[in-house]
Amino acid sequence: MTGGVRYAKPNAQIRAMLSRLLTAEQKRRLLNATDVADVAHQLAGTDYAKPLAPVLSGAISLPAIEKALTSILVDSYARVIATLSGSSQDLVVEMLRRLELNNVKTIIRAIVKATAAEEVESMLIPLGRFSQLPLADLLQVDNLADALDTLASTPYAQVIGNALDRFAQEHSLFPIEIALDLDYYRRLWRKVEALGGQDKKIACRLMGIRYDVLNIEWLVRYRLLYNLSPEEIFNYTLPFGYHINDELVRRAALVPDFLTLVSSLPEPYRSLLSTITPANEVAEHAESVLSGYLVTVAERSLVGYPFQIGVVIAYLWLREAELRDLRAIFEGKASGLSAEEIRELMISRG
Amino acid sequence: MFTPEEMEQVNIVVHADDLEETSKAIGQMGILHLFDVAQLGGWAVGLHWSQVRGLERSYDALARRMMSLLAVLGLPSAVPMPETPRIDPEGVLTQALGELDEVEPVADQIVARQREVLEQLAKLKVMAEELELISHLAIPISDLRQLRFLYLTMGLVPRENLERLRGSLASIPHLVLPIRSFDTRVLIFAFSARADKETMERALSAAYMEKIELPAEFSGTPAEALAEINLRSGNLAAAYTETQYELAQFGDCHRQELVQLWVTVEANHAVADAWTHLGRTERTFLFSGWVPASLETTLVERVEDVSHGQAVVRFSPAPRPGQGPPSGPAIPTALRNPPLLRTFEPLVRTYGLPSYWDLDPTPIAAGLFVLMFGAMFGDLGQGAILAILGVFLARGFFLPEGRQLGSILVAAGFSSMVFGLAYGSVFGAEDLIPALLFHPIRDVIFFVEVAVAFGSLIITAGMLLNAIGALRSHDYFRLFWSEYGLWGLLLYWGLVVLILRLLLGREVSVLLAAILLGIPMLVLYLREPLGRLFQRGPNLKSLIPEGGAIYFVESAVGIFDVLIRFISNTVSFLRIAAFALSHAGLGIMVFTIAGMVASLPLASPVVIILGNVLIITLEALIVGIQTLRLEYYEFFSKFFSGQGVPYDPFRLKHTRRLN
Repeated sequence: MTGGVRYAKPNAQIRAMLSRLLTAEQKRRLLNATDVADVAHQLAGTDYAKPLAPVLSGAISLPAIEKALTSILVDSYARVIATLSGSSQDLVVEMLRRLELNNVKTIIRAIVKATAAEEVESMLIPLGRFSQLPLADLLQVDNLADALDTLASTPYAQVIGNALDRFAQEHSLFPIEIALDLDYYRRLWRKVEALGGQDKKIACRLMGIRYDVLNIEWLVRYRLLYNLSPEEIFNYTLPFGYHINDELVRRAALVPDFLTLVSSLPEPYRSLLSTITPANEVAEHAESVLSGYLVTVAERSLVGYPFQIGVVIAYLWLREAELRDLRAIFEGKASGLSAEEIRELMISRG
Repeated sequence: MFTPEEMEQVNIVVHADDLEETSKAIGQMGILHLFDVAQLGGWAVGLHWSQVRGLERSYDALARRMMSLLAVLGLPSAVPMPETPRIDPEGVLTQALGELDEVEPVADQIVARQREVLEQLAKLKVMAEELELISHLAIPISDLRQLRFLYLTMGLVPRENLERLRGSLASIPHLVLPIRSFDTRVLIFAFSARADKETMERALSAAYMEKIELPAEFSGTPAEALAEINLRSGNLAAAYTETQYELAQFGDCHRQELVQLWVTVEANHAVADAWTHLGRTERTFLFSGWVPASLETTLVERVEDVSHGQAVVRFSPAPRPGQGPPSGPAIPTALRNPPLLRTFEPLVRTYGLPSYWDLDPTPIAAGLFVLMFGAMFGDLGQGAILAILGVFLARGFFLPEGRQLGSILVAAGFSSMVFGLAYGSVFGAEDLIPALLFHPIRDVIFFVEVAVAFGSLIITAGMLLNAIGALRSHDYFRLFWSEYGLWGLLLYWGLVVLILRLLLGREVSVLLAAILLGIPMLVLYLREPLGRLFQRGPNLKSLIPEGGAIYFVESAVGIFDVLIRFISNTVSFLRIAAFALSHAGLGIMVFTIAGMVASLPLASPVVIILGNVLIITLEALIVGIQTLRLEYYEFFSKFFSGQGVPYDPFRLKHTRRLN
């Protein structure tokens, strides 16, 4: 009953927004578009027409399109957040903060590479009132020590501070970025655990699957691309998940190749990834397949009792997947890829 | 009162030769709230003086350097602005950078030495702490460092990484011993077989451990090394004091020039910042902003004076919402309340600043706060204590920044005293004085009815204020069709009348329910298309641009939501009665306990005094929060969006932005 009252409005709003996602037919037409201009034309009449109009009207710029698509995602989050309250709102705000984490990484990379403030500013995702970053001050900073001072009031300072020694020793941003990722996903999980009753159960399952996917993606990268040691891999993965547990991570961290890694995973991941032939871009393929699985999970979550957090999370995942697909279509068309080649880059391959 | 200060939009065109003098004059007056000229509309976009951003950024960087230098040298950064500061942003920037380049390196050198000393001291401190832990061992440190079969290392690990670190070492025999917590990190000792040293080190590094080396420079047992560390720490502390003295000396030598330079930089920084809003043609500059209508003449006279009558100053009234350019400048809000009410402005600002066309709820918020606080915490004696405490706070005792809080407390205390007389309550005793109105605990039902009726009136007042605000801004959609507009008010009172009739046992016919609830609900259900129909005429396509099905589903849920909110908002006022009852209840409890311990000497008065202290502390806080909650959620939310832009005129002072 309380769920009915609490989620009546969010659910109505989300159902309305779900009905505005692209249909399979619309995606097919987009894939078969002749070029970027034709993609823009095909988007007329969809929800994307208006927000993309300013970047599609003149000379086409992929970074501008990418930025506009990200703004659409932020806007979707903002609209969902406005309908929620309490711990479910906190969770969605934290989910949105993943984009802020990207901004932090962008700024740190820019500081290390001494990129001009104007250029960095153009790369940042505008998060408006959801941003905790003192951006104006951060853009003036030219070294990591000052960045830490400027970030003092945010959760990022401590994490970066802990990784600074390793950055100095290894001259690589990898330790900082992975520390930021781990910290972010720990914080996000705390928000999941702060939910009550049925919401907590549903979110633990959905986000658990998300964390499984994340851990598998990281395992593939750490083990097969970066050749990290098992103890490093274990430290750089997350102690949360749905099907994946510490023991599985420990085992998977020892595997010599992709096929053995896949066979060490539980279902459904084993079946999903066994379709991939080991090749150079195995990490990208695995990520694409796993993202597709998240879309399936999200679609299934929309069936059944509607007044719960699962609908909210599912919608946001679907929206994000659709935006990633659109990005792939725009990039593919700009690079002259065929429809079939672009389809390979998409999450939902229809 | 009730409405913010009336603002006028002003455009000032000055000749390039007069730019600096005019900027100085406007900055000294501190009355012009600037906005970017590009916001004037399409024609002005090309005028925007964007090139000046570089100058402003240089000032940002310079100001940071200067503030840091002043702090290092112990010099004040909050200095009064001279009557006639030199305004020449380009020239002052060059001069300041030159002077800074001379002074800064010397200070930096001393600071670098100081930092080195501090780093050594910190290292020694950590070493001492570690050695303290093993100081009972009579083994030389060198032996610990060169364990033959065991590998021992120590360091600080982020607390949340500790479990993962242990998990990552599952494949080797190991011991990870947390020794002590430091804020977010834990000092650990980690042991493994020497053969597993590499595995251990990789895991520790991946867990972001900051390694602490066993000091190689010390010999002997840990206790002997500790004594040596203490000696070195003493020497370093003396070296640190010396660098501090050097900095103070250096600061004293350069005090006058640096403070003078800082004041000039601050003023020019403010001007450079203001210039980023300006428009520019070949020979003229355009200032655009908002100024209180009452200060129009003052501004004109001053600008004409400094520009020798060359400047062109044009005023225009603030456009109503929807009248100006689509992305036109927001009109800033300057509240204008008498000093007594100004004390209560923070209560409103905590929720948000009224927008220019909103009503200023401060007078009503102040009255309601005082009234509801007293009604929930009615006690003659405890109210008097609160009022006295408020007087002390208002006079700057206890907390220098608590003056405003003190004034609010005085008003709340007096209200509490008045309601104490009405309820016959003094220091928690309910029978010492007669109740002038009623005893909350004896007339519970009556009090509950009064509280809910009061709530209905407050909600109605909120919706009426929404209507007045909508009228002021000519926002007719909000006036008629918003959920807290006139149709919403009809729905609310329809609901109130129906519930009253049910409670009084009167008949409620279907026809009556249809008239009182059905019609307003139907109208609100169709409010978007109806609103558009009245505004734009019968163009069916544009009535529901979102699409019919989606609109009707959303609107149905919206109406359900509004009804629930109306009921829950009204019931929420029950807390006025509930807190008054709990106050009486707590008083009874204190006196009951005092009666139970009456046989012990002095026990009764002690219990009564402590009980009263507890009630005053807890209740004043809780009732204060609940009163604000009622104001914010049940009252403000009906008419007040809090989206106002604060009136922030350009002044020749820039530090506040940097801080």
